[in-house]
Amino acid sequence: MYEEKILNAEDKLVVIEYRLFNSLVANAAEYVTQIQQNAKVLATVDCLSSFALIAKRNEYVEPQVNEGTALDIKDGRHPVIERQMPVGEPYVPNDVFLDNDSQQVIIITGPNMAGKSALLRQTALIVLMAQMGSFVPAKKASLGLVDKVFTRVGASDNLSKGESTFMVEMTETASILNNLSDRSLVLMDEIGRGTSTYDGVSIAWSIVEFIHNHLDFRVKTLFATHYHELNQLTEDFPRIKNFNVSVKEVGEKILFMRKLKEGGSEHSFGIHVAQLAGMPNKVVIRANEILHFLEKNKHKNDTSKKLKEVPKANYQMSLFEADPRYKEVQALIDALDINTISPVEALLKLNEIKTILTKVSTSS
Amino acid sequence: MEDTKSVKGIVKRGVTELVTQGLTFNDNVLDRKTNNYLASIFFDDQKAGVAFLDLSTGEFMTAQGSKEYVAKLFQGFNPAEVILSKAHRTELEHLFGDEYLTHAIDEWVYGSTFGYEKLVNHFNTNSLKGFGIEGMHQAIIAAGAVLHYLEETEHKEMGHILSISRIDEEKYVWLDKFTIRNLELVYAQHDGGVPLIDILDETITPMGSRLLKKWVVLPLKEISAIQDRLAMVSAFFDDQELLEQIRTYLKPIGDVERLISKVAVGRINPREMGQLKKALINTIPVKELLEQSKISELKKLADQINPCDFLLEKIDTTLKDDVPIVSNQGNIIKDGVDTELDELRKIAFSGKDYLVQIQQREVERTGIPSLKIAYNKVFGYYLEVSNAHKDKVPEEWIR
Repeated sequence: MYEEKILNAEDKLVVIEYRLFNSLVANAAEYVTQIQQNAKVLATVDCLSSFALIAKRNEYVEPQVNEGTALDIKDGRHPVIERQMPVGEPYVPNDVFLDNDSQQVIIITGPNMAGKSALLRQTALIVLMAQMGSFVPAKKASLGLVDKVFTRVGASDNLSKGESTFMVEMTETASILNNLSDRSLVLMDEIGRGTSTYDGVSIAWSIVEFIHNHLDFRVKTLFATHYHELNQLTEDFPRIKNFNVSVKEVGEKILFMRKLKEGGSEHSFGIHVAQLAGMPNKVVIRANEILHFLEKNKHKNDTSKKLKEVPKANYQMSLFEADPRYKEVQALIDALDINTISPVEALLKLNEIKTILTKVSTSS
Repeated sequence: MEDTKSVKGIVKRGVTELVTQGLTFNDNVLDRKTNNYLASIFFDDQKAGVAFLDLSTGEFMTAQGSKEYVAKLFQGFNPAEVILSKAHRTELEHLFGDEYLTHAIDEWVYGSTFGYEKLVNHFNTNSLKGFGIEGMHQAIIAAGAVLHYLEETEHKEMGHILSISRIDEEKYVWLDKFTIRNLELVYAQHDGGVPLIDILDETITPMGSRLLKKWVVLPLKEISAIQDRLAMVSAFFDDQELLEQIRTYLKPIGDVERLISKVAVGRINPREMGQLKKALINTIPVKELLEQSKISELKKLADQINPCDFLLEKIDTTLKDDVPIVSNQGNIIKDGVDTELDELRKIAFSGKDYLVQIQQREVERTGIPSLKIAYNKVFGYYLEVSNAHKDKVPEEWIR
C-alpha cells in the first residue's frame, strides 16, 4: 500500500496542482472586467506621465487651448527635427500667427532647403500635440481648437505605384477643398510644382483665392511656395499675408537663416543654385534677364498678363528694336492705307520692304 | 482534446486553434508595444463599416463612415489582417491596393441580421444600445463578421471581449490618410526617419505604449477632454516626486492588459499568474498616489481602479512564489492550500527519505556496503545485492 502511495504520489501531485491552478485561474477570470478597467486607467496614467516627462526633458510648454479661432505660437520648434540637430547647433524657433480676421492665409516664400516644409509641419504638429493633451515645443502657444488638419505636398514621389504624380497631387488637393470646415488647418507645400510654371502658378493662385473667398469658412492656411509671384495676392485679398524664410548671401554661399519674416522674398535663389550647379553661363545670364524683367514690373498685379509680356529673347528683339533702319520700314508701312491699296500695289510694297531689309542685312 | 491518461488507445485528434496574423496570443509573434488588430470591412452604396479586434487584449471597436474615414482609421490602426466579404475584393483593392493582408470570407457572413444576432448573443444583451452602436448598420455587419471569424478559427474562448466601443468621428480631429503619413505621426516616410511617436513615447508599460499610439493618431477635438488631459499632465509636470513615484510603481505592473486576457481564455501559465499578482500589488500604490492628488481629474482616475483585494489574497495564498512556466509538472501550489496535496507531498518527499533510511539500516545490519534498494515495474521495490556478497544475505530475505 505504502509502496503504491509513494509511486503514485508524484503523479497525483501534478494532477492536483493542475486542478488547483485551474481553479485559481477560474477565480481570476471573475475579475476580467475590473482588471481590464484597471489596465485602461494605468495605461492612461502611463501616457500622461510620459507626456510630463518629455515636456520636462525637451523644454515644452503647456499650451493654452481655447474656443477661439486664432493660432498663436511663439518660438515654435519642430519636435522631431530639434532632437536630431547636431550638437551645438540650435534649432531656430519661429512665431506663427493665424486667425480668421486679419491673417487667415500665409504665403511663405523662400528657396528650397530654407525650411519652409519644416515650418509647415511643426505648426501642424504643435496643434496636434496640444490636442493630444501634450505640452508643446514652443515658448508660448495659444491655440484655438482645430477640427481638421490637411497637409499636401506637391508632386510627392509616388512613382513606385505608377500613378501620375500630378494627378495624385490634384486629387488630394481636391479632396481638401471639398472637405473644409471653419476650424480646419490647411498646409500646402509647393502645390502646383508637379506641372509647368504657368499651370502651377495659376493653380496655386486660384487655390489660395478659393480658400480666402470661401463663403462659409475661413480656413487657416499656410501655403509654402517658391512661386513668389503669389506674393502679389496680398494686394487684392486682405486676409492673405506674405512671409519669407530668410536667406543671406555671403559671397558665393547662401546662408539659411531659417527665420520666418514678414514680407515676400526678393528672389528664390534658384538661379544662384543653377549657377553653383555648373549651368552654362548663357543660360544663367538669360535667366537673370527674365528675372529682372519680372521684378521690374512688380507693380502689375496680373501675373498671367505679366508673364505674357515677358520680352522675347534678344536675337528676336534686335530685328525690330535695335536695328537703326527699322524706322525706314515702319515709315513705309505707316504710309499705307490698306483700304485703298490694290493687290498688285500691295505686292509691290512688300517687295520694296524686302529690298530694304536685304540691303540692311547685307550692309550691317 | 482528450487527456492521454484517461483514454485507451489513440486519443481523439482535431483542430483546436487556427493562428492567423490577426488572431494570436503568442508573445513571440506579438509586439508588446503594438496592438495586433484584426480588421473587418464592409461596403455598401453609401458607407463603409469597419471593426477592429485585438484578440490579445480583448479590445473591440467599430466605426462607419465614408471610405476616406475608414482609410484613415486603417492608416492609424494598421491592422495585421483584414477580413472582408468575397464580394468586396475590388473595393478594398481600390482603396488600399495590396497594402494589407486580406482574407475573403463567404458573402452571407456580411449580413445585417446575422451581424446583429452575433453581437447580442455574444454580449448577452437585448440590443446594442448600451454600446452606442444600435442602428450603425454597416459597423454592425463588419463587427458581427469578426465574431464569426473567431469561431471559424476555433477561438471559442472570448470571455475577455466584454464590450464593443464606437470610434466616434465627432470626437477626434480629422486627419486624412495622407496627412498622417506626411506628418510622420507614427511611421516615418523614409528609412531611418523618426516619427513623432518616437519622441513622445516614454511610457513604461506596454499597454501605455499601445494607448499612446491611439492618442497620437486620434487627437481630440473636445475642449473639455483636452483640458482634462493637460491638467493631469501639468499635475505630473509640477510634482517631480509624484511623477517619479508613479513611474516606479508602473514599471513592475507590466502588461496586465494582455495577462488578464490570457486568464479569460484560460491560456495563462503559472509564471504569468505570478506576474499578475505583482501587477495587482503595484496597482494599489498607484491608486493611493492618485487619490492624494489635488487634481480632481486624477482623483477620478483613482476611483476607477479596483484594488482586487480578494483576488490578490487568493493568488498570494495559493500560488508559490517561484513557479515554473508549465502547469502540468507541479510545484505551483503553496503548502496548506489543500489537505490531500499536503499529504501526498509528505509521502512523495518523505517516502524517498524513508527508503534511504531502510537502505542504511540494512547495510549496517548485513555488512554489505554495496546494498541497494532498487525498483522495477515487475517486482516493485527490492533489495539488490551483488554476487560477491550473496553469503551475507539474511535467511528471512526472499530471493
